Amino acid sequence: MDFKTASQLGSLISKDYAENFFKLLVIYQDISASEAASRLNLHISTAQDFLEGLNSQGIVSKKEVLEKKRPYFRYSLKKKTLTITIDFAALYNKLAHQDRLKWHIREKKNSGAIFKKFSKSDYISALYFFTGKGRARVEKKINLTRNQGNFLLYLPFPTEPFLSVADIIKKAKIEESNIPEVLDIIAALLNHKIIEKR
Amino acid sequence: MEKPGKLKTSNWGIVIFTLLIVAILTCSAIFFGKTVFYTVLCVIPLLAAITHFVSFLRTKNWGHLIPMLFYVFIGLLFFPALAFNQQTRVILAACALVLFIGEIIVLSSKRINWRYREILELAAYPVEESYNGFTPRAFPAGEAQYTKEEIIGFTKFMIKHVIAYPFVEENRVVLVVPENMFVYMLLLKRGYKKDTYVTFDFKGKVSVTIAKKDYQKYKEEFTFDQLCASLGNLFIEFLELYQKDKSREIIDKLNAI
Repeated sequence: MDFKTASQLGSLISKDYAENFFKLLVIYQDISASEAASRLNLHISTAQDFLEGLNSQGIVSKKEVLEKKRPYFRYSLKKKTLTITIDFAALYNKLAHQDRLKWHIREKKNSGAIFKKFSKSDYISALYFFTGKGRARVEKKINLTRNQGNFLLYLPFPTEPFLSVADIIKKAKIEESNIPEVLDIIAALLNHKIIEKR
Repeated sequence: MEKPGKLKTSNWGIVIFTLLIVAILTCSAIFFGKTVFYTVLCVIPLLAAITHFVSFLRTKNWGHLIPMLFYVFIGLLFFPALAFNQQTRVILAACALVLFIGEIIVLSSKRINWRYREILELAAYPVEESYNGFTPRAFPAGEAQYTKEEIIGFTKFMIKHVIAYPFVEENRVVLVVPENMFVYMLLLKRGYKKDTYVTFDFKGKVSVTIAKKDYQKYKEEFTFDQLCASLGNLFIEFLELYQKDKSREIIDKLNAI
């Protein structure tokens, strides 16, 4: 299940009337939005939206029926159970970030960023920088992990030659499992013009 | 080994400090009269004496005792101007004169001179390129071979000869190169993050941080990473000389500037 589908499902079942609504769907062979709304004391459009949401996720099926030539929908439960499975690891595409290891980077001259160190250590703990100009100027802060701070310690100075990300990681002795968080921060630093890429 | 200085020569701090003392003395004489003037004339040297005494306690450098005694005698000479008789004052003045000569000798031998300027000059000496690129980040200046005991002994040597002020932390030692060592000696300043410093961690890693205010003291904007690397190498060289029992060479090198 992709994250978007899971979050839509989560949003539906987290409604405060959802439990009672599902109870109705179990009890009734099929039910219309107006019937459910009157039974649960909801506005008809709320019940309609909820049922449409369940239909779009394939949890209920809908059937058009006519009453005095006026069509409306009746909904019936398709699934008696629901399992939400999310593969969090799939959210990060490792291969897509691997090319960042080949980037040659260094600190940008006059970036205006302020590097705050961990107390009693040279590792960088946070980065402060400014966005916008004049009155719209806003200070932003990025808190760094220990590995990111360690990486930044070995980031070449603006006057030094560019160095590949892989080489900086090697110098900083960052473990393989911590490389993704370093690659993640590089993109953010590049976006905010704190580092430059050759 | 005479080399052209790479630091700006102006030192407004000393000038302002001297003018301030002159202003205090003048105002006390004009507005409060002779007694207050002599009292102020006594209190200022006595404060200087206390400063040197605290410096002696913290550095164990005997050189501080000569100026301390000199300031004590100067203080005594002026404060009880109305209480001491002429003969006692002559003796006090004679002692002060002898100690003054002693102080001149101590100062000319650079035994208690802060080495801030010398350190910055030596750091800049091998750097020829000028390309500004200041960053407040620490520069990893490489690794050195030393034990924890050796590095702590080295810090004691550095403070004794007023080369750098040390902070011994949980996992490293920090050698601060402040422009004004007294603020650290008198515990008026606890944090060193705004000064230039070199750290030696207990795993052998050396890093350098050069403060912006110190970088701006150079006549040129030297290539920053080279300047940091040079300062790191200088301290590693000092450590190696200390390890080889050649500490005298460190002093000679600083005196040569």
